Parts: sequence; C-alpha cells; structure tokens
Amino acid sequence: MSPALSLAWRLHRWEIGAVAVAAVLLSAGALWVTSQLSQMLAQCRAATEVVAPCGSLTEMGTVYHVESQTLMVLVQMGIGALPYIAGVVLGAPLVSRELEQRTAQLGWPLARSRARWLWFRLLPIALIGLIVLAIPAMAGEVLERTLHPVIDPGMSFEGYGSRGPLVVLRLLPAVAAAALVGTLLGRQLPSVLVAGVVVGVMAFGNELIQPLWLEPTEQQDVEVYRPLETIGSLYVTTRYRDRDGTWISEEEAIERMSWDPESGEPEPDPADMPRPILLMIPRERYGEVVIRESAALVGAGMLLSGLLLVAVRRRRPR
Amino acid sequence: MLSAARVTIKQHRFEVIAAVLAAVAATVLGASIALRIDALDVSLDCLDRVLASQDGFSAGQECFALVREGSTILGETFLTGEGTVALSIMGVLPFLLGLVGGVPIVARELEARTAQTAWSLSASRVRWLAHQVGPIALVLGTVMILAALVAVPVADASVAWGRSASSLIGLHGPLAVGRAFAAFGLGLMLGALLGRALPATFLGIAISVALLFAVGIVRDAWTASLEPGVIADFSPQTGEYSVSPRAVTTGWAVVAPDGTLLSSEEARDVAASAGVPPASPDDVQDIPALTWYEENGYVLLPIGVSDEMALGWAPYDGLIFGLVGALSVAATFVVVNRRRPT
Repeated sequence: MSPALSLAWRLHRWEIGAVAVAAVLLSAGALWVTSQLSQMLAQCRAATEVVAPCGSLTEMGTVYHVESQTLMVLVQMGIGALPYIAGVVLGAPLVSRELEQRTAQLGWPLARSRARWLWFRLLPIALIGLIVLAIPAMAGEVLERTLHPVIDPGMSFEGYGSRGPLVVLRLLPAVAAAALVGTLLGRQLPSVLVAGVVVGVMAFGNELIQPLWLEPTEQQDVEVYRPLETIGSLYVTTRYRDRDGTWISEEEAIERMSWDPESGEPEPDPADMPRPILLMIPRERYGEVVIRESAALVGAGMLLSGLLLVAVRRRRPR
Repeated sequence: MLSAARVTIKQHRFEVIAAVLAAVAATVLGASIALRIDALDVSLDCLDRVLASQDGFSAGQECFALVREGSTILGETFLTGEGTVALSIMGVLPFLLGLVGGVPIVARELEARTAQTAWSLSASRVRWLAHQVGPIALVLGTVMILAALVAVPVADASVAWGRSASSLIGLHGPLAVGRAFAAFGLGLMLGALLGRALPATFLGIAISVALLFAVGIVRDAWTASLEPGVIADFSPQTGEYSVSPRAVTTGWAVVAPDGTLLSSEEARDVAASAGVPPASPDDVQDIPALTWYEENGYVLLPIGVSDEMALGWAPYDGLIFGLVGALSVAATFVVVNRRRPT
C-alpha cells in the first residue's frame, strides 16, 4: 500500500495539497470560534445567565455573539461543502489526466488488469481524502459541542452534515462520481466543470432527502413555541390544523389568517384561526439518521465505483 | 483572421461552451424573473405599505398576496432579501466565466508542450497571445455583458422588495463585467505562470475568494469612515423607533432628551457623572447604564449610513477589479514573453 500512497501523492500532490490546506484552514477556523465561545461560556457560568449573550443560553440553548453569527456560519458551511469539493478535486483528474496526457496507453497494458490499475489509483486517493477530512469532521464536532452546550451533540441535528462521520463519508460517492465523469470525458478541466455540476446536484439531492430518512412527528404547536424543547430536532415542514383538528392546506390557512382592515369586514376572532403545527424528526433519533445516511453513502460510493470500473474497462486509452 | 479565431475557439470549445451555457442559463433565469415580476404589476405604494407593516397582513389581503408572490419569484424568504437565486448566481458567474475562459489559454499549450511550436511559428509571442485571447474574450465578454444587463431589472425588483441596493454592488451591470474581467486576467496569468490548467484553476478560485474577502474588509472600513446618522424612525402610532429600511448599520448611539446625538462612550460618561456605577465585568450589556438611559429619557438607537451613501462604494469596486484585471493581463504578456515554452 505504501508505494501506492507514494504514487498517489506524486501524481496528485497539487490536488491533495489544495484539499489539505482547505481542511486545515476550516479546522483552524472552527477551533478559533470554539475558543471564543468557550471563553464566553465560562464567563456566563461564572456570573449570571440573564444578560446577553448568556441570556440566550437558557432561552435558545446557545450563545449569540458576532463570531457565532458570521464566522461560525461560514466555517460550518465550508466544512459541510468540503467533502463534495474534495471529491471533485481529487476524483476528476484521477483517470482523466492519464487519458489527456496519453499515459493510459502505457499504464493500462502494463498493469495486470485495468481493475487492478484502477484499484491502485482510486483506493489511495480515497484513503488520503478520508484521513484529511477527518480533521475538519472532528473540529466541527468540537465546535457544535460548544455552540449548543445544553444538548448532547450525539442527540442533535444542529450542524448536521458539517460534523462527525458524514463529513468523511460524503467524500466516497463524490470522488467516485467525479472519477467516473473524468473517465467518460478524458480531459481534466472539462471533467472538473462537469463533475462540479454532477456532485453539486448530488449534494443538493442529499439536502432534499434529509427529512425523508425517518417519518416526522408532530413536534410542537407554534402558538406555544418553546425553543429549548425543539432545538436539535430536524425541522421538516409546517402544516396547518383547523380548530376542529382537521388538516387544511397552507393556502387556505393563509387566506383565513389574512385580514384587510380596509375591507370593512370585522376582524376575525383569533380563536377561530387555523393553528400552525411543526413537523420534526426528534433529536433523539439523530444517531439512527446518521447510520442510515452513512449506509446509503457507502452503498452509493460502491455503486459508482462499480460503474467507474465498467467505464475504465470499456474506455479506449487514446 | 476569422479562421485563426475559429481555431482558437475550437481548441477551447469545451470551456467556452460551458461558460456560454452558464451565462445563457443565468440570462434566461434573470429574464424570466424580471418578466414575471413585471407581470405582477405591484404598485410602489403597496410595497411600501407591506414593508412598513409588521406582518404584511395589515397591508391588505390583495396587496400582501401580490408582494408574497413576488417574494416567491425572487427566491426570497418573506422580505428578508436573502436567497435571491438569480443574484446569487451573478455573484459566482463572473468568476466562473473569467477563470474557465482565462486559465487554459496559455496553460494548455504549456501542459501539452505545443507552446514550443506555436511560439516559434508566430512572429512574436505578444501577437500569439493577443490572437489567442481576443476571440475567447470577445465571446465570453458578450455573454457576460448580456447576463449582467439582464440582472439589472432583477436587482431593481429586489431593491423594491426591501433589499438594500448597496448589498447588490457587483452583482449586476458594468461592475459584474468588471469582476469577470479581473477573474479572466487572473486566470490567464496563473495559467501562464504555473503551466498547468487544473492547479491554476484551483489557485485562481482561492485567490478570487481571498480578493472578495479583502475587498469586503476594505468596504466595511470605508463604510465605517462615513459620517453616521440615526437610521431609525420614530412612529407616533406605536411610540417606538423602527430601523429605516435598506439602511446600513455601523454602530450604536444614544439620543439625549434634547435631541443631541451622543456616542456610546459620551453617553456612558454622562451616566457616570450622574452617579451610575460602572458595569460588573460579566455584564456586557451594561445594565446600570441602560436602566439610567430609560429612566432619564435617553434612547439607544442604531446609527449608520443610508443606502444612497453606501452606494458610493460602487466606483471603488469597479476600480479595484478593473485594476486587478488590467494588471493581470499585462503581467501575462510579460510572463509569456519571458517564459520557457516547456
């Protein structure tokens, strides 16, 4: 394995370097924000929890501060996007460079089989990517633990996808998909562009299916909204219930809740208004959702690797 | 001349097609949004009433429904001005177009080792570079100008729907084209320096992000240097102050009962001279001073600059990105003239 890792480094040091620099910068950013928040939390615990930013700790389960609203958001978004970006950067040139520089013409006949050749190219780069991404994954976990100190991060959807194993595992389908695009196109820069779009769609799809991993439950009535009870749960949608308990459409609810003072009609009684209801996946089921998505990511990675193998086997080396 | 341009475009057809498709997609999206917003025919009076109301409902059902539909078309959550799809795309498009178009022009020749032949066959390297850059710049420039022009009515609609015009600097019109020029120049120069398309693209992305970040910091400092004023209006109906729409907040100040505007420090000195004790170290809000202000008719208000004042940054934005583009293109000619063709 060591020669394969060494070869991967020599062939892709620019790409590995770029991903590593991004991972280290994001991790450093996460740890810096964590240290700022930790200092603030220590002050809050030593003193009182009734003044800002400590007041929100008892109200919302988090401390509000300039850093927690700006840099923290950027860092979390960056860590969340990193596995997809790393997948494109590491995966797209994997086969396309060999095809573009016509070294596949020599490399493929010299290898015992193309499957073996691909194995020794894909596995080391995926392994390096997974190791590099483990750093921001852990930093994201530390940041989340400090950002929401009143809830267990192992039972909370806060920062979902920007911490823990999902940051690492999302690389697998991304790198396989990007390598597949590179194999089909056979040129590096076009592969990066097309793989960027493909992986972007994958990432978007992943966001969309999040609420579908488990059946949401009727979590809370918006009218008696208590943030501390719902913090950490995954919001799915808001539906509207009539006062007699039946579900009504959003359009109907909004129409009934709207009132034009110039219309001359009497103001409707608030007691007759529809009630907005939050549907959520409870925070206690975070682990279950992570396991399901992890299994799906590994499965998708394997499926795409299989397709990649078929593409490499059938491709002309030019 | 035309056949040479055709060869250049053919050499980089994938990048040119990808960039043109992205620009056309942004143009179509922008045009669709502008036309649908125009078709709604929402009056300024209706928009102002909804913006001035707390929840929108009191502006009247018909008016609120129209504004709400406009918000949906603009891709915004209710009147927050965030998530405008078309303008978000315009934030990325100039850099995408510029880098994708600029990087491979020299880098690909060096990477494929064809520069040796091309440069020796041409009368001069400068002329060779000009012939390579010209056709691509013409095609990408045209589609970029088109996308930037179509984004103008979308930006105008966003401003009418409550977003500040100063937050849209560089996302439409000539300034968006200026950004594309800067990215194109950067990509061209990095491709010539590194001689490899992919690393040059990644480095170009990193430098573009860093440049945007740096310009943002300079812009914040420039905004903070402007003479601030109170950006909240007093409502006799509610008896409360509300922050003026589209204003840019730069800090806080205190209005004395006689109407004098005091800085936070000056107001604290007044409170201290009246016997208010200093805040305890863990009291970041300075509760004693806040209580004294309230009891003595002092009002804590946000200060900042109007949207019109903040728009004064626009020429500087154009100047910075224009200079980056011009210097990068000039540097590329120097690099190509002096570089080894391998």
